[in-house]
Amino acid sequence: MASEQQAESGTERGRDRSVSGRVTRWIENLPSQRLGRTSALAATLGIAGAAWLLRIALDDALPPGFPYLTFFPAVVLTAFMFGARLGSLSALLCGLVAWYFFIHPTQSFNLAGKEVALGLYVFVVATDLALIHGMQIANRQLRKERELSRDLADAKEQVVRELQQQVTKRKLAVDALRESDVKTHLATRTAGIGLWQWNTGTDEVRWDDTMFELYGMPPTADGSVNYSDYLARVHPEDAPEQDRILRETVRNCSESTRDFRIKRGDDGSVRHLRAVEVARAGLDGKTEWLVGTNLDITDQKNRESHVQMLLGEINHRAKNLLAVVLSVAKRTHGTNHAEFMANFAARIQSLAAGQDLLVEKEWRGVNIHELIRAQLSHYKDLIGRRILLSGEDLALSSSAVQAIGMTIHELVTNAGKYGALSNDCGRITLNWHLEGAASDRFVMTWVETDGPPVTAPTRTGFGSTVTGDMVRAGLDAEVKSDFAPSGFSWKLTCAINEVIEQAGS
Amino acid sequence: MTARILVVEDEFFIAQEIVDTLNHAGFEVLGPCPTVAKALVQLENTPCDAAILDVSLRNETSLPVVQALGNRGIPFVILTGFSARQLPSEMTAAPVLTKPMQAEVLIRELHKLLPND
Repeated sequence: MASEQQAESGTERGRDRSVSGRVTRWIENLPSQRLGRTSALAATLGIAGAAWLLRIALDDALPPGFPYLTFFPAVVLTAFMFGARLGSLSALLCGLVAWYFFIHPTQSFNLAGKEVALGLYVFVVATDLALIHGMQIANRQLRKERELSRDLADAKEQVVRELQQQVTKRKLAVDALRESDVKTHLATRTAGIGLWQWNTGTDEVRWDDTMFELYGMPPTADGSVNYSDYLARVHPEDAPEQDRILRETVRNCSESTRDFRIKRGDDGSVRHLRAVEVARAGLDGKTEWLVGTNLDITDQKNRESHVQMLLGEINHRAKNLLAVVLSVAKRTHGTNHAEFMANFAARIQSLAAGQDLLVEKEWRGVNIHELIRAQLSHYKDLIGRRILLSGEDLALSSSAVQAIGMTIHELVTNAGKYGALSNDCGRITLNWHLEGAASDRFVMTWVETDGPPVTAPTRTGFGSTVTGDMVRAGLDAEVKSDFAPSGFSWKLTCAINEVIEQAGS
Repeated sequence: MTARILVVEDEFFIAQEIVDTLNHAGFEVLGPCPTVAKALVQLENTPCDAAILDVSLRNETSLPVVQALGNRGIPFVILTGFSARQLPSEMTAAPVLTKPMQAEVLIRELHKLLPND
């Protein structure tokens, strides 16, 4: 359609080269302005002179009368070509020449007897001039209108073309915007980022679906919430500061990044969020709206605080462990250096085994089975045959790991030296279980059978300190050691809270 | 008169070291108490002249004991595996000794806290 219109307007603007077209254009431009005033005057005089000469030449061939025969065409032609003013001049000159030379009596400007002839001349010439002048005014008017309509058509075409360009541009922009909108939506959805917009004039906040999910609130029909409702979800300790920062961002029409806590609407759980927002000003330079994002960084925060906790714990435990090692060194005996070193190294390895498990579990509870197997590693081939283990899975706290770990080490070392593991057929039964109506008592028993006959030790060594006072103090436990001749047995009873890892500690 | 020292320490061997050190230096020992609850009960039942406190007791801190000592005007020494900057300000007001403990330093600090001897 566009090309059709262009082709049409092309013909209209292009020059019509046919004869009739040229004549039309020539007539359209009359009276001619192309000659200057002097040339037009000269041409007027020339046409009048030509008419005079032609009248003289025709005089003999003509019957008497017809004084104006050649002058009428001259006046009409002049008026037609150069307009009413020069037409009138031509009429005057031609009239005078005809009056003097061609109306009897000739060679005079006598009026008598010539009134009718002169009157006729004036009437015809005046009528011609009036008609020609009128036609030329109409012609001029017509030309102006044609030019005007041609300009209008051009202007209209220009407007249509510009409109089409704008429509195309806008469509492209809308397409790009829609595409970018879809991309943004996808990206924010994937990353779990909530988008919000706050109209500061109406105090209305618009949330996308992710925002409602982050805050644990059912989405409203139009996605809008009040600013006060938003602040109500922010943790009471953080709300005043968040309000202050947001209002400052609005006042300065700036940007801000905030980390804060919220209480989710559904389960009331506390989550850490990071928000970034940008203020945008209206024409008056004042903030009109804020647009921002929210991201749940709870997991990241938890990791950070866990790492901080671990660093503090490692520092603290390392110092404590050194103190324990010093103390163990002081209390370890041996008849010679080699025996001392063997006993000392075994105790350090027992401590180290417990540490390995704690580090592996990041101090969040060590499985009691794993701990016991680690402490019995020297006798692992006997487990299930001469060492019988039974008990439920429990996650031990770090203090219980050290107390129970060292105790098992001393018990099995003693059994290897003097007890059930010092012959070929002795057995050890190690059992632990929960007792009490609320299963709140932890009981652990170590029973040796079929070993060599037992005699009670005469002095208190490091081993019996560990299996006695240490574990008693460390776990606030009741501990009983029985050196019955048939076999050594040991029993520990304490509150379950002393040994298991407490949630949240 | 023998000065009585309350010992609050949950690590058995360290507590034994402290007790040995204090006994050797001629002090009378109260405790050792491995938990805040036991330390507060001990403090309630038997008067003492000074105290030696570990900071981290199992899953709690000894801050309540610090406050109870403060209320009674009893001076104390902090003996900890933590570095001083990890501690709350109520504790750093007192002398802070780090583990492993050096017996002479501990005894010297105690004597500084006890003006009468």
